[in-house]
Amino acid sequence: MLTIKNLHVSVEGKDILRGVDLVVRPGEVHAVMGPNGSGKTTLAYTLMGHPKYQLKVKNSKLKISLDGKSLLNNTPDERARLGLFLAFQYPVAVDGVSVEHFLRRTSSVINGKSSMSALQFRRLLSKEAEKLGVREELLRRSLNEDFSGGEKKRLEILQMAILRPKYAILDETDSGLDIDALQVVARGVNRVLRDQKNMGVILITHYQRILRFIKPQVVHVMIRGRIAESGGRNLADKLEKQGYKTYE
Amino acid sequence: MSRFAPIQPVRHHPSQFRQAYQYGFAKSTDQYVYMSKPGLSAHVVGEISHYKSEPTWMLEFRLKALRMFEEKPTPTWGGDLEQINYDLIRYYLRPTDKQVRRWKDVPPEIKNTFDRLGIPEAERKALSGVKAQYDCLTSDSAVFTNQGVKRILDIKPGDYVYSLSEKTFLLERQKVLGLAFKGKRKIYKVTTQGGREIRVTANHPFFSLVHYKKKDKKRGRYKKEWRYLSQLREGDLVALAVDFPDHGRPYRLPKIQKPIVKVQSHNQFGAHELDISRWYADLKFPAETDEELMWLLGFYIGDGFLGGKGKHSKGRYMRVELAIPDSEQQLREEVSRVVERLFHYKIITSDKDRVKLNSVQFVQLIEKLGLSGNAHTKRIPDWIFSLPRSQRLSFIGGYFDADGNIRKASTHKNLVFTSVSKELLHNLKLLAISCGLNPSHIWDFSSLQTYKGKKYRRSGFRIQISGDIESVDSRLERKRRLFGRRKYVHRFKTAKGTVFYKHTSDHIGFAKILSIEEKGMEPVYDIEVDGFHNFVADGFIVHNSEIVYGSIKKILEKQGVIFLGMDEGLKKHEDLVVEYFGKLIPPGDNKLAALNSAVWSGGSFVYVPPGVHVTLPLQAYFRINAPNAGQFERTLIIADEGSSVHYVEGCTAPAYSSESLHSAVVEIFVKRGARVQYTTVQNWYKTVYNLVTKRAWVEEEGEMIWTDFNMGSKLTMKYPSFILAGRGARGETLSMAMAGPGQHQDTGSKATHLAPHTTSTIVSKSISRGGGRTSYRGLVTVGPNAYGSRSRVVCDALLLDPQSRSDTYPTNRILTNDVSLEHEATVSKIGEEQLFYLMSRGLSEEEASKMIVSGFVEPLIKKLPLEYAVEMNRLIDMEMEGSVG
Repeated sequence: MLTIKNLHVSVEGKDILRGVDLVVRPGEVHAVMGPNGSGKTTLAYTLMGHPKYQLKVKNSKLKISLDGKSLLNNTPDERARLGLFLAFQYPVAVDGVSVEHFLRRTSSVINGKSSMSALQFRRLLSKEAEKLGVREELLRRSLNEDFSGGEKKRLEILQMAILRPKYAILDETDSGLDIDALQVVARGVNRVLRDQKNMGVILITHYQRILRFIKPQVVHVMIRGRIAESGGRNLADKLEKQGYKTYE
Repeated sequence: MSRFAPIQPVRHHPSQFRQAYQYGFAKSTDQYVYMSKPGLSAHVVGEISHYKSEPTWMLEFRLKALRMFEEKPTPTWGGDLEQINYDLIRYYLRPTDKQVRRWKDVPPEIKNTFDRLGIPEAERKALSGVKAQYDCLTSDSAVFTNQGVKRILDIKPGDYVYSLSEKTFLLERQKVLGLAFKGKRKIYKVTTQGGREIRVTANHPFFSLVHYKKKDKKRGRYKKEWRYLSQLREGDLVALAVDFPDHGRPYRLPKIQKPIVKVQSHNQFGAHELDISRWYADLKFPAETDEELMWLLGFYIGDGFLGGKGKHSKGRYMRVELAIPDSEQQLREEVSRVVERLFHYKIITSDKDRVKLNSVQFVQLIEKLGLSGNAHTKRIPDWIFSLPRSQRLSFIGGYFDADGNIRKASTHKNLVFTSVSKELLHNLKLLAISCGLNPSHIWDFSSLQTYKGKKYRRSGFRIQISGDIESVDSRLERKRRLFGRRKYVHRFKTAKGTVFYKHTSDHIGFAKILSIEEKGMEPVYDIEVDGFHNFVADGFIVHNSEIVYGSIKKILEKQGVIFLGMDEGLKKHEDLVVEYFGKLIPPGDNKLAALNSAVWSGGSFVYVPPGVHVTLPLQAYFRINAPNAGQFERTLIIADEGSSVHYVEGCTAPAYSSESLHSAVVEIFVKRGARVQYTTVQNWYKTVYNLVTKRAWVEEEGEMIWTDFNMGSKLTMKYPSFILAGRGARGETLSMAMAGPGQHQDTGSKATHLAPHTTSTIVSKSISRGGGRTSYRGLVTVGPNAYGSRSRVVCDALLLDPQSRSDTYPTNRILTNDVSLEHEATVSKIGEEQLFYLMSRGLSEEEASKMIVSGFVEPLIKKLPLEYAVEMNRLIDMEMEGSVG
């Protein structure tokens, strides 16, 4: 269970999150929607442990925990090894590090030193890549270097499929994708969800579009650093019609 | 009194040890025949020349250079050179003349030097002058001998192994001259199509099929060549033994005695001893093996066991049992027939599930032949490998009838064997190879099975055998019928997408490498083979490494290539030296070139005749061997028209707290259409001044490539340059510099375009950390005649922390209009965002930084031969260790 309680976060002295509470149980998909600047990405980065985001630690009720274990003092790599995954809105390029080499490294760190040989790993990787429509040639190239927007997003989901986290945060994975690419990515997410029934997902998005393909159990509306309303799937439909204005 | 005093061993204060560089620099304990006293004068120069018994012109050259050195001002640009005290430096050291004969006699500090330089193992030995160089296979490697298959460890001098004749391309018997244990080495596992696997060191040579294609030709040609593993990539073709000549002989069976059994018998008169031996069956045993017996023993390996152990047997086995259910009537008949013919024994005891050979003598036979054991411990004993092929095939046939199955593949049928013992299947695999069959790799499986209503998990290993399976002596009609009709037998004469019939023979074929994986450190062994110097291990054709080195030297000699120390070069080829020495970098070029010209000693002299291509890199290494010592080597390379050569040098120094000076001069002449690559890997201790002048003269359509890796040293000033003097000449400098705390790497390149349509490329990558400083200093000159020329300069700097510094000083002098010039410079910091991204995937901060750095230098490292690249990455990793919080 991923538990977030009374989360206050500021960046460079500016308050962004003002008390967020969220509980994601294994196997649940939670959509977090909200207008620009409402703190969605901040929430994602804070959960992953980006050092730029200052937590207000004074409040004693603050809690971020994964399956009962507090994450507050963990570095990003430790959180990843505990089973947290963040699909970035803007994945970062690393020159000279091939996708395959990178994935093999991270997968051996996260999934433990498995008995998987280089050959077996390559087979697994190309199988998963094929399903996500990621070209073989891309796996040999430098990580995210000169990738198109769609390729970057697919690669994020490919990483998720390989690393098999317990909880995944998808930060605007739908932005910058055309409808075909969106479907491929969504199918990829659904497939991982099918394979790993216990994975919890926080799906951060602007638009209701992706929710047509990935069905959330719960929809949250985030306004100015707080969760303004939570509800079922139909909340998304309501947002689509009325916009965020009603919460202003 | 002579300035050359006999040397006292250098004593080090213990506290100096603590300053020793943490990654393995150690104090030198070298002994010198002579060492000059510190300081520089005409007298010292005269004595150096005298000691080397040089011609007068060289002495005059040296003295002239000394005058220039004294006149020239110290450069004020670049790094701070004012601190060098030329009077404290020893200008000449003469090491012992003794050549070490064995690798283990090479002093540890020299081995250490190689380690610091990232020189691959095999090359290290060649460099240290050791002649014997075999290291290659792991201890479990199976070598094919005419006595069967043996572990490499069990091979003895005088044994005969199968070896490939490079004339007929058939396997012949050759004598083993020696076995050597080569210490622990880094091991790579090679897997090919067809499931062959072997574990070897990177310097191990494989017989391989190399594809050559000229640019203008539509189709290429295959050529058979010996290649080191480090030169091979996935997808390359390596030779496999597909069949062997049959030198097998039947095996003499051990004598089986009819047991004398006496029991205590009681009757009304009391106890007495009674001989009951006559109650035992009267068995005959054949003198040696034949097909029938081998079939039966094969059957035993598959489905036989020893039985009859009970209260009365005193813990001994009493009979041999074969698991043949009564439904297999044909099999029971065949077993009965064989047993009766061989042993004159009629099987009378059998039950629903098995047939029993009810005599201790059978038990003795099985035990003496080394076939006993349970499903986990049964093995195929060595003697079976030395049988005639027909008997080996009968053995496999028997095994198959007992325990094998048929699996349908797309175009043919395969035999499948299942066992809980991986070792047994591995034995079978080797036996199958020795019979010319094609076994697959061994894989593990696990499946749920229902037995008597309960579910059991069954797991074990499987192997599949294809090839000419009809030759297997299977006697079970039911299974034989399934063999079906085969259209085609794969003999490794083709591989996916390519055909090379004419390069194969009855004994060898080629298969593509599927993967090469690093497998950690392991002890390795090699055998030395007479005649063809190669042997068959794990089904691969491999070479013993020594002879390859030997033959390289021979090939160089035959091609007319000269590769000598500079001093020896001067003695033996004075005419060439007079013509070129000091012509490209005259003593007056700069202060340090003048110093080098005055006191030079050591270095290499290379001449490559017209049209000769030297395929393996020529290598040399230099090190500073005593405190306050100078290292002033001088290298001259002449590549004549249309030739090519790659020269690799390594430089290092042990840990001395006092400062040392390395000032080398390298002159290279690239004649028309020739190509020279000069690679430097240097890792000086951090008190060394490294001030080197390197220049190449490139004629028409010639090409010069400098690859320069600079690590270590206190201050490095080095700008490899090329003068493009002929139309269409090309020059390229790829340099990497890494500066840590207290270090300054001032590097770059100089390109001078004198002729039309010349091209220069300069790529410089620098990494600064912990307050280290790197500078790029470049000068591109395009002369008035050099119309249509192009120049491209790329310099990238990576800063690991805010304390570090990087500067760029590019200068362009363009004296013609028609020229294309590009300059790109980037400075990047390891960004928080990059680190965060990599860390969010589970990598620690240190590992993430390492990954970013190695990615940064990757384009340059790619230009190194594979093993150097691996080692270079290791050095960079070592430099980076502890660099993060």
